[in-house]
Amino acid sequence: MRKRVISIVLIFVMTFSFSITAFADGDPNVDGGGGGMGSGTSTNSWTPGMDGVRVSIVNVETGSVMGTPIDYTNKTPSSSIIHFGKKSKIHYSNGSSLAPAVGGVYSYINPSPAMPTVISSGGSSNIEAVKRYFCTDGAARMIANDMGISFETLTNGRYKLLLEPIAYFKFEGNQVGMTAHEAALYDQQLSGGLRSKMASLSHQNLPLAMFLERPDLGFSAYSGATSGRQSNDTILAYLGMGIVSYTELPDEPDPDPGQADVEYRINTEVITAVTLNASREINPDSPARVTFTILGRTYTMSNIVIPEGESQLVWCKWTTPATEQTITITVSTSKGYLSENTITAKIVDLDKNPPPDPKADDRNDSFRAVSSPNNPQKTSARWTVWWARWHPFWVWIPNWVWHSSYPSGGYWCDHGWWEDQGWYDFFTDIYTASLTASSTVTPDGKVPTASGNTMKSGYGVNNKVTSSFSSNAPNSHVTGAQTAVSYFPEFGYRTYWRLLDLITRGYSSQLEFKKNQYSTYNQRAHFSPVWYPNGTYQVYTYLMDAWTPDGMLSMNLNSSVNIQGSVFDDWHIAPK
Amino acid sequence: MLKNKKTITVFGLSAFAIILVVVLMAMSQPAKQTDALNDTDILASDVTPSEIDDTAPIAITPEVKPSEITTPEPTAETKANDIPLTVIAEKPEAPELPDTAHSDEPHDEVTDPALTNPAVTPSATPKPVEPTKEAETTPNGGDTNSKGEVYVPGFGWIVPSTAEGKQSGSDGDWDKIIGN
Repeated sequence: MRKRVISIVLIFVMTFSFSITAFADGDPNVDGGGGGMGSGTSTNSWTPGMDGVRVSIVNVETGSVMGTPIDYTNKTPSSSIIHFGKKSKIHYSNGSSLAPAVGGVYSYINPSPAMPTVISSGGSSNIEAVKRYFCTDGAARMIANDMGISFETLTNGRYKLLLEPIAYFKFEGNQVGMTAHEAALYDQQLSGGLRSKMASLSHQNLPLAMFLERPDLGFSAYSGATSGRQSNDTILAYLGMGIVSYTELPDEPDPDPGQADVEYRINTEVITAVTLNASREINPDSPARVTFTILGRTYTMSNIVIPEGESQLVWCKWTTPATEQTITITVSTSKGYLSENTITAKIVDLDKNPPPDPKADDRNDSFRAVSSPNNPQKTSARWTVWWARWHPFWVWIPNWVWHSSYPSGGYWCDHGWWEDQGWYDFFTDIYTASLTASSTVTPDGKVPTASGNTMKSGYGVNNKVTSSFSSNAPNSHVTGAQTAVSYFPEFGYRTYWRLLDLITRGYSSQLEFKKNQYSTYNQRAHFSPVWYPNGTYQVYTYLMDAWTPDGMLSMNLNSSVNIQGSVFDDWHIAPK
Repeated sequence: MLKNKKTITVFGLSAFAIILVVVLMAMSQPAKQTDALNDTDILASDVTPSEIDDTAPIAITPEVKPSEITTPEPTAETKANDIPLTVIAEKPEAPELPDTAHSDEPHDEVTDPALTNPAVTPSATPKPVEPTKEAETTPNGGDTNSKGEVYVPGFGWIVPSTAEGKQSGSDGDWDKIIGN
């Protein structure tokens, strides 16, 4: 039976079963308190129906967004609007920062026929109608036309649509428009200031309007709660997105019960992170402490504070063992609840498959060059840390006592005291990290006839990888890039690889080939095959193991030399 | 006779001294070997098979099996593995007592009629003190200035964008499902 799995799930959260006109939280002019109703005259309000969808076309192979996303809405947003530009979740995941657009035009499109309501505020869910709308031939042709590409190109299977719900609402007196991802980023910027006023929209109805039921385009499926307010970390990682594919989706592979949760390399400094959720406020009076137990050693993260309903990435920094093995990491917390309590980590040794000894009579007449790989890469990371400061609110508790004076009279004296009825204010520190790197492949120094970057086949090449890891975070949050693996065109960038030596450790790390056991001079070289045809000899290198709490940073690197002739051209046999 | 005794004594002492030296040298021989080994800084890669002396003593490092590794107690030693995520600050001290509050120091003569009428308990209460309250100088969200900018919390003064919409549609089949 043909299995058509819809990769988007549109969940319309019903918080009220009766008709309302506007939502606003934390506004004294609004009835009902959090998630209550307002008349639309408050400084924080949302009118049901003021929603839309940001549509991005994503290249399946590269994972990049083509062109500029388009915002579709049935409504007319305020003529003067604050927004954050046309960025998708992919842009933000790739390191774009949240910044309001300054002036200019905020363009939107009213589609015909109109879209179903995206962010429901009451009544029954119309999830099927929304799914159906975006999967139709009519919607695909409209989107293709609006994007300026042909319908055939859009639907040839190389592209997918990334959908993100948008809410148009009033926040702190400004008319704003933002996706769920942007709302979570903005809330982090305001240390919870958006959630405190608009939680039922920004952290519930908007993000839960769409999420993936299966992993796609590098994003994880969501299997958490489909109601209630969500944390910023959950929204950023899982919520507020749907994906439309135009090709038959492959059957989901059965999960391997023995599959590890994470894979590390031996002798590598790594960050293992989980999420700590707080259903109740965790404050400095009694902060949380998370304990990681790895190979009998205990690592802790202490002084963790989280406002109610939010979450915090917690982690430990440790060095993997020197031998291959599969280990179980156990995680426990003194407060809140963790995303995982056990992590199965596979520790692998990549230095087990170097290319074989090249021979002078090696041949490969059927060789066809293939494109170098394009592995998933992550070159930037972003994470936040909650911290709290006591907000004193001293209230005088009076206790008047009459003091009599002899022989008559007296006076009142206040024997009261100050009572601190304060609270904790929570703030977020935002940390970022980025990785840049280069690979430089050059003819080996022992090649006698190399000229610049041109050499004859059969000689060796060197590869110098330099990386630069920059971050505003403390050392306990990050590591520099530590591992690089090179793949070669003669093996189709598969089969054999070389693990590079970490020559210089740190945030500006340098790596080179290991010394080649087949090199007469013990050079850090890889020998190009003597049969390699004239042209570009490109070495592909995957740089990785630059760790942050937001995951590992990695990069695809390519560099090449030019092959002209072969080593046989440099040698001849002459009679004495 | 005296000369003979003297000679015997000299020879005897000399013989004793020689024996003593020989014994001391014999006792110190192993120490010399150890020093020689320690002073020879040979890297493993520098040793060729032909240079290996099979008769030389071989230092054997006892193999530690994983099961024999003991887990350190999470005490001060493991504190190096702790990451304090935030700095926990002390709470501030209480403000000064109000003038009307009880004090151990002698009061001036109280003349305030509100404090000298035994029939009426005073009701004056100091206002709450909120030392970390944000200054009122921060603009409110939505405030506008002369440049046409609005105040956006978290970002400051921003010129808002002008929303412009257009209609769109297609002559495609809105009943035909092609995506999934």
